Amino acid sequence: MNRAEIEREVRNFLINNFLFGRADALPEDGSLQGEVIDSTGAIELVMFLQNSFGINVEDEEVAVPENFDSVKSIVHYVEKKLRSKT
Amino acid sequence: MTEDQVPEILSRLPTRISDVVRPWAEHSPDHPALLEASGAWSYGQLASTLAETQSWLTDSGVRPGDRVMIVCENCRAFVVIFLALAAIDAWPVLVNARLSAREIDEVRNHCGARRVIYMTSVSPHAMAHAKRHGAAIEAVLNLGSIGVAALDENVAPEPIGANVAERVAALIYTSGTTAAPKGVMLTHKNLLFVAAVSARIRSLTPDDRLYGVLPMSHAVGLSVVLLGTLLSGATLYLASRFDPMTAPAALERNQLTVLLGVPYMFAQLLQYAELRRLTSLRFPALRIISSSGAPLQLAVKSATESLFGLVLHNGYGVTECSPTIAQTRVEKPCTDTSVGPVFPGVEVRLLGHDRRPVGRGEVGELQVRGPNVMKGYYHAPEETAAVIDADGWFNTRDLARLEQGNLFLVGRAKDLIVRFGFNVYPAEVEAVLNAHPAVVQSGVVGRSLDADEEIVAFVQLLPEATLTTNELAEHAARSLAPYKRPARIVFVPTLPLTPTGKIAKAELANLATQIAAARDTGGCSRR
Repeated sequence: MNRAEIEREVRNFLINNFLFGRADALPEDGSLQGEVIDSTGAIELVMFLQNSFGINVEDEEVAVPENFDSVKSIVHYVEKKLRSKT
Repeated sequence: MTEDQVPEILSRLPTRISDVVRPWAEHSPDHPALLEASGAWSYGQLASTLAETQSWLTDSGVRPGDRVMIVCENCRAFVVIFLALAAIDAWPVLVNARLSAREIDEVRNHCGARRVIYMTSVSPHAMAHAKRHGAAIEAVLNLGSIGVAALDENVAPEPIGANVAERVAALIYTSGTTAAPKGVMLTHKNLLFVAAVSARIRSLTPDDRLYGVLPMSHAVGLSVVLLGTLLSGATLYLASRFDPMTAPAALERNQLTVLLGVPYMFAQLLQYAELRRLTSLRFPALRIISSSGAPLQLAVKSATESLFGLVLHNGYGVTECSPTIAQTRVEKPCTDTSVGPVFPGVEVRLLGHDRRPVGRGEVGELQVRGPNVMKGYYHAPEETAAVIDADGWFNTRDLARLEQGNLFLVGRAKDLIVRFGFNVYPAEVEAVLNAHPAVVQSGVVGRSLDADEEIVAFVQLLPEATLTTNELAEHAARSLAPYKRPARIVFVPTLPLTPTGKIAKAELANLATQIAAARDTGGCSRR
């Protein structure tokens, strides 16, 4: 799965699950957590990442703000996890 | 503890909330008082920082009687600024940094803040408000980086009364789930009474380590958690927000002994356990878990108890009562969702529509009298007189009944839905919906429909649930009389919450109206 495909899936998930389908409401900066994803959302996001990409998201990785602050950082995180699997 | 111990507790209360630190600083100066991710302070360090902060505040133009607003999330800097303000007779005005710009500004204008201080180092939201207000971001003492707005030279200080214990120690604006925000004036005695009795009920000692995750801009976090901890010489682990993914590690790593939360937090921990496929989540040091702030559903209570291997206690209160009114006892846990016996030292009465006491076991409007009842609403004598009568009874406007000495909350008098002329308590409908295994939580509101009200249920499902609205409606129909059944069930990703974790009913009521309007024009959508 390439970066564009990962990004498309992540964007679709965030828009459909947290923003009632409003793509224009998805921030591009580092304010995803707290603004779009609350603490319950974090669990949903982890479940989505694990199921969609076959990766294992550890508790301590969720605690690192840089991992899930923006679409870009989530995509980067998924790519890193997929690389470490191979 | 028993009722006859209350006079002794009252007689031994410190005069000011800031006095809780000194005895422990003298007795055990190296004992940890406050922990957080960025560092820790012992009682000795807390006392010396408190003294320095008092001087800094005075030097920066804060006078006795001035209102000083703290835009906060939990951190050491907040604790010490809050206590220092109370020590110099200024009024700390506590606002949750997660409030909107409109809400923050409304409070600032209403209280006439001499200064506004922002906990920018732990809160991006506080930072955003600080920038919006043009505050300077500066390093102060050893408090780290905080935001400090310019002094408002045009506000006058409030007069200071002769009785120190009756002076205002905190001004907290109500969350506004039911009405426009009002500034609740809580005195030193109000806060210390609840802190001391709560600590005694839980037998807190210096060996205890509490999870300070409830926001201290609100009454439970402030009196029960913060002041209860410091009064007991115990240790508080401060967290600026609750995260179910990291909370288990915090409980384990810090050997926390007491976790006080809201039902939503426990529901999230259940979700975390499901995500990680855990059937038990055990922490050897943890001895008390307790919920308050919103109705606790039996399904959440039972599942949490099974997960933790501990009784999930329950309590009830309102900001105006500092906040505790009832609390289940450690030595006598309840197996139902009662909020337990009335708090020691507090009187309650239940009144019917005729303003006379209801019969045994009957539902009535709950009124409260005791050392926990607020001084009043700030600059709102009419609103104060509307809720506190000449004999000192505060009307909670909550509906409750007493059964074998335990209080059961039936609902908000104001939330009551009248359907087909019958009273429907949203809490009852929510309890039925929440009992479905695929439901995380729900919020039920009424929508005006000519002379009637339609019941609308907003429901959050487990992430992988495949339940349909029709299936859930059938489930509800099995347990509810026809007039109590929701006319409409709407699945939502999450329910809107107030900063204290309560379901924002006013927001849901607006949403119900919007959905109905969209439905009428054929444009309604649901997830």
